Amino acid sequence: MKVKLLASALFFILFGTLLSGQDETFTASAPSVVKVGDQFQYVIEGSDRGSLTLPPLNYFQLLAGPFSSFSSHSQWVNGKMTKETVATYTYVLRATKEGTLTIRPSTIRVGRKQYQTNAVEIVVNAGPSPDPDPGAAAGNQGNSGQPSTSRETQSADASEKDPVFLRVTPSKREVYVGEQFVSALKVYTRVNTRPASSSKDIPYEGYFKKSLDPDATAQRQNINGQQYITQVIQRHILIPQKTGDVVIPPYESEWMIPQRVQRRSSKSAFDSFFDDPFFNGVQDVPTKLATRPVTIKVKPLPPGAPEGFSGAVGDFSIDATLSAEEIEVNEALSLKITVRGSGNLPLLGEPKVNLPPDHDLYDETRSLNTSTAGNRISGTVTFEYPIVARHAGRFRIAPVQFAWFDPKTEEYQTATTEEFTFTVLKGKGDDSPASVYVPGVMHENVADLGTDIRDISRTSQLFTPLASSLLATRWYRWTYPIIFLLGIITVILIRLVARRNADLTLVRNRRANKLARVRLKKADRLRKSEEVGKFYEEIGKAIWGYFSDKLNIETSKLSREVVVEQLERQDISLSLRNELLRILDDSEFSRFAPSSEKSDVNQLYADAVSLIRNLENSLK
Amino acid sequence: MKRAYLILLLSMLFGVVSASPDSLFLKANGLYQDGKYELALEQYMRVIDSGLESADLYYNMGNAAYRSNSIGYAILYFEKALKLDPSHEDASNNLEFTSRYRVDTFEEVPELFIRTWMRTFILRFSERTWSMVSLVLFILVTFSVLIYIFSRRLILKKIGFFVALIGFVLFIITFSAAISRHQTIIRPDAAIILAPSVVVRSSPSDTGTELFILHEGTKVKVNEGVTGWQNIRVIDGREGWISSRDFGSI
Repeated sequence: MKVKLLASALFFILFGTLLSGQDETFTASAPSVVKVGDQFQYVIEGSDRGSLTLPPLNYFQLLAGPFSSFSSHSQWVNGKMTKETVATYTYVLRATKEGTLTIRPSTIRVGRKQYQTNAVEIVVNAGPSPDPDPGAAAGNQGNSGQPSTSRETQSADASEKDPVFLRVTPSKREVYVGEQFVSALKVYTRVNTRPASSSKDIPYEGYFKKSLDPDATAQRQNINGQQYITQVIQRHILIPQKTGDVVIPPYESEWMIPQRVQRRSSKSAFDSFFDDPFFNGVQDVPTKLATRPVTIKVKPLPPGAPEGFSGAVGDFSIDATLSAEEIEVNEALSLKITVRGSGNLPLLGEPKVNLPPDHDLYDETRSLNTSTAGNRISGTVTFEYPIVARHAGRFRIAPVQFAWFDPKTEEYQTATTEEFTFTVLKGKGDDSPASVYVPGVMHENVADLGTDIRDISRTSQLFTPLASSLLATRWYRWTYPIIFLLGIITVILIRLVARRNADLTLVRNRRANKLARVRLKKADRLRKSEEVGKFYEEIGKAIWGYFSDKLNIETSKLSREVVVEQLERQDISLSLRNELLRILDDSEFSRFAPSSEKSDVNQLYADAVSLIRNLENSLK
Repeated sequence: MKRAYLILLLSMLFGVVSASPDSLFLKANGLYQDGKYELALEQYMRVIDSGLESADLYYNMGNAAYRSNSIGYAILYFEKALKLDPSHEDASNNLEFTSRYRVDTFEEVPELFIRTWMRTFILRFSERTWSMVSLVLFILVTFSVLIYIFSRRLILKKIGFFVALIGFVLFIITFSAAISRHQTIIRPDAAIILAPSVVVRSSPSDTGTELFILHEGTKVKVNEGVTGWQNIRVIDGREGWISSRDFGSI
């Protein structure tokens, strides 16, 4: 290309003088009707090349140009040379105002002559949509000349005047922690440029990143009235991992940028020849470019996360399978939980599973299968929980709850797997295998599963007044003195009664002798009046009455045995007891016996008197 | 007229029934069952507000407080339940469990074993139990004395004497224990720290020198108090003043 250019330039210089004699015509052309904001070409065509000066373009914007092209065509016909040269200068313009506008004649200087083009009249209609910036929609940035809502436009002005600049364009500027978004590194250029070295990845700090293939197609974009070519260099899916304003720091890289260079070379003829402005060197110079820091506002997840939430953000579904429903002791089975969807899959915490205790449980394994199709991380994460059964029985795996935050609806969602049961059968035939692996399996202590408080009681005891104490209650305080008093009263009463009884006995005791004497005197009278039967009766009465009073025994309860027993207890001598029995016998016997056998009345009387006296002395 | 009285009586009866502590208790249990622990706690509180208490009530309140992540209150309520009913097995189990969440641990000051033994002995039963036992013993002693006085038979007299003697000694012990428990009801001598952390100061004012820091759930002995401040003693023997807002008496 360059060589061609040089060659053609030489050609024109060599033949320029030959051609200068001819009259040149230059014509300007443009579409007669355009719309506001539309690009159009303003073309100047002539038969020779020269330096062009555009008139002031009042209501037109110069977007690009001039793009010049030359073609020449020589012919020798019958020894005569015919030569045609066509020079075309193309400008890309844009109308900024409605109405019939005129582009005034441009001036072309060829050698020492000046030429003028014709003026061009253009009718400008109202534009259908004043959006001249097709790239802006993709990059979420308004960079056209119009006052945009994006704050980037104002701050970006400085760098955006440069012919080449880099920019980091995130797809979102406000995200939830864990929410994925795409960030692209773009180069904007007005010139032919290329990276000076192989570019490194942007060091996104505080993000989980996954690179995407950059979109290869270049785009045109108008920034502040300048036409830029944009090209995505890097694209990443980012997942913020901390909250707050997370800054993507400036990223630097070197680019080869063509710049006009003043040759400092000597005065050699050849070099001074090239000092012509036309050749004034355009050279690629490595230049450091840096992006501006971009701040992403990372919001924390709202409070109130449901149970089973382990940091998942996105849109998911959950599925679980159990590898077997019936196994034997010491065989293994596994519970597989698959989380499917799009979101921060690589960062998911494992769902909490309540596996039946009493078995050997191993750490879960996790397998990740994701793709970045559609500019988002989607796919599946599978958690596998291996279980080796150690005991026969029927076991249940409670449903697993998995919760995630959906940034679109800004709500937490929950999904639950089904409940699984599995049966563990005893080993075939022999019972030994279990003990091979786990010796003493039958004597295991009850595993301590108690990692929670005991449940509430369903019923309550009787409610009592607050801070009540039995000791303080009136009835309790009065009970003691009352019981004490009752005790004392009981003692006094019993004492009183006892004393009265004791008094009575004493009285009768003292009276006994007296009464006996009275009876004996009556017997004596009966003896003297010869009433023998009554005499004996009175003797008996005297003795029985005496005992009744003396021993404090009722007459009806008196009998010989009772009296003898009482006398024995009081240590009365045997002779006295025998005397008593004899007198009693005599008196009873003689009462009913014939008179011949009756004992001597006088003797009996004397014996009875002496018996009472003796008894009175010895009895208390 | 009679009918009007009847309606009045019925409405009073109904009013009493609808706000009866048992129905409040059951309602709170229902809330607890539904996982609304804070609401359940409020409902249990209404029973307390009506001036009634029971060991099971405090036990359930402790559970609700634990579920609402307030360890200090959970420990306080379990302690209260155990004060009313020292044989409440669930309460002592949950108290032990909850105490694991306590921040502070202390080196216990060695105490004369007889004191420790006596304290645990007294704390073995509630005031109610001690009072009832001592009353029964008093009646027994009285009877035994009467038997001793009036029995004619020697063996009964001997039995009466010894039963009265032993009974009297036991009565003195149980009655002292009852009084001791009664004292702690009238003037609680222990408290649980409820604030997440409390600065213990050397004097009862906000400007007092900061001595040390206690955390939620720690049990302290309560000595004397001035308005707004309470002198407390930690199990390791340290003493200081804390604000009355930061603890709850058992």
